[in-house]
Amino acid sequence: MADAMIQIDAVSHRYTGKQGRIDALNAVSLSFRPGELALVTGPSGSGKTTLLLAVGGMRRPTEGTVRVGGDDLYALTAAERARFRAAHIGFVFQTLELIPYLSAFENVLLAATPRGAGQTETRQRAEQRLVDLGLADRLHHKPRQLSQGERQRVAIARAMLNGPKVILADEPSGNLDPDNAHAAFAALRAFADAGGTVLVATHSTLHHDQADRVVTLRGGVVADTVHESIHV
Amino acid sequence: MPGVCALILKELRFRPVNAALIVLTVAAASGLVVFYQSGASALSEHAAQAEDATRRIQKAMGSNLTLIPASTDLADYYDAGGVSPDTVADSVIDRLVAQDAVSMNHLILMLEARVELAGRPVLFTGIAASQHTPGRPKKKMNDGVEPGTLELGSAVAEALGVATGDSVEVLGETMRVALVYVPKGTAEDLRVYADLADAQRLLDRPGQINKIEALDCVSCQDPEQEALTILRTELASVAPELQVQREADVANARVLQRSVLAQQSGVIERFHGVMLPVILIGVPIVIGAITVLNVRDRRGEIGVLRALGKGSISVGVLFFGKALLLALLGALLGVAAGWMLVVFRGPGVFEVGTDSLRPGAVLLVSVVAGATLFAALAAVLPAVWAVTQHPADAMRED
Ligand SMILES: Nc1ncnc2c1ncn2[C@@H]1O[C@H](COP(=O)(O)OP(=O)(O)OP(=O)(O)O)[C@@H](O)[C@H]1O
Ligand SMILES: [Mg+2]
Repeated sequence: MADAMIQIDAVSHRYTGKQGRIDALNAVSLSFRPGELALVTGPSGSGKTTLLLAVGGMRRPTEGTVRVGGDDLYALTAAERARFRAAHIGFVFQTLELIPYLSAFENVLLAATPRGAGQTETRQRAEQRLVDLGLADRLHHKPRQLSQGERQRVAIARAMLNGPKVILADEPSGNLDPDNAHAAFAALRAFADAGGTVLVATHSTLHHDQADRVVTLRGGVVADTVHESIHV
Repeated sequence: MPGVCALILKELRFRPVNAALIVLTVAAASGLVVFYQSGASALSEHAAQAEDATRRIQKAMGSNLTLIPASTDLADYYDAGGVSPDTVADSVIDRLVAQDAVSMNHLILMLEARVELAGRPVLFTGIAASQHTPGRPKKKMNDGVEPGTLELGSAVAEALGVATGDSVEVLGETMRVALVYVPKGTAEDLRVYADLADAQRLLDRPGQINKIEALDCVSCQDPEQEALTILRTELASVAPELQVQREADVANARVLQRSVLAQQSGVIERFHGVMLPVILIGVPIVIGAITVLNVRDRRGEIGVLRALGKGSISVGVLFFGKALLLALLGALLGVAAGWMLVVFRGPGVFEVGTDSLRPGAVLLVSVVAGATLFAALAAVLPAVWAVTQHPADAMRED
């Protein structure tokens, strides 16, 4: 696929530790277009998080290549990859990882470069992202003063700050009530509709209808790919 | 992102207990070092001054040691008013001066006898210029008496009706009066001094002496040992024909002074021997441990910073810089507290005056620099640990 935003070729990942070896991914090949929102589902331990980390340049696969926007991520040096990630990839982690001593606004601004953070334009953008996600009156609250759904949206705002090409979201609607889950999902959908690529790892079947594709992993292999007709 | 410094400051406010522990540890350590180090330098200055003072007093008083022939019975010696009937060869001085271990200096050879001068008994003393152990150059305490002349105590001069420049006959020889001393109100007023060689000839004791006056050496004494024991041991091996007698007042003052100094230096020794090592080892351990706990608490944060593309330097500075900043703050507070302690409690603890207890700028600056350096060393490993965390694994922790 010539216009692929994410190109995963024969990616395998094996965790080796004291407890032995775990084949988390086995020869996974997938590609995703700009504007595409794909769900990655599968049972717990099927390799969803590992796949997202590999795509995000945070987990070098044991085998295979990952290209984002044409760049072979693991051919870059660690520093180049870090810079690439800062500029082009937004993460929403399973555990959210908001920094407890920073406000919602500061957590979003954390994604900016040190120089960018001082610029009015960047600060306005950070504020706008939060406003867009319905957090206009929560800008200066600390994470512990926010509800789980609000924290989720702060994490999404942070992932979006730099206008990335790709957003990788791990369980963005985990632990959320349906309303909040829909709000979070709507934000990701809007990002994809604006031309970004979104991979969402989830157990939930709640949002199948809003996805362009549902990829199911089982034991580290792609078991099934369903293209939802609505958005294709 | 907000700069690393801003992150450090915000985190400090978020985890004040963690920060306070480091600040208090460093402050306590720096304060103690300033306090005891000020005490130590005041005391060593004090000790040096005390030694100087003692030496000056001794010089003013004259000698504090008297060496007399070993064969003299002390009862006879004191009965005779401090004149020994026995003599030894004056060449003994060469042995006393030649060897380094001897704990006495300013040796003055004397030959003394009670004689009659114009029908009056006087103490006639032949005296040589004082001699010094080589390598311990001191000002001459005594230049001796010019050969062929006499120096008279005031009472003697008055009784004889003579003044400087007059002539006096002594033991059959006529000699010129070179000096008449001012009245002292002591037995000195009844003395007549002559050159040692003249006295040996007049008293018919060529090459003989019956007394050596000397000053014992304060600074070369081992404070643990009784000076008399040292002197006796030395004499026994170097000049067994002599025995030593001491000036009682000076000896007592010396014992008193030494016990005060020993008590003061005990405080300092406990500091240098126990407290300082505990501080030097303990403070880095505390800072290191607190920083390790801090890194562990913040693994998720480290992961997200790395995921957001922040470099190793940012993450390292986040922890290293924090330890450094807190240590600097602690050191400044500690130095200030130590200073207060010195001013208010120092005189009581060290038993020296407030004036000599002034922490020098060098001490203050080096304590601040030292504390910061130690904190930096202690924080290196935890900071490296933080930097080398795998971001994805770091986030799995919570
Ligand atoms: N750092 C690691 N070290 C060792 N094994 C790991 C590590 N991370 C994941 N694994 C293992 O790899 C497999 C895939 O894990 P992964 O987290 O990708 O699954 P997942 O599909 O995201 O599961 P979940 O739905 O529970 O989040 C699991 O068996 C897991 O135990
Ligand atoms: Mg997962």
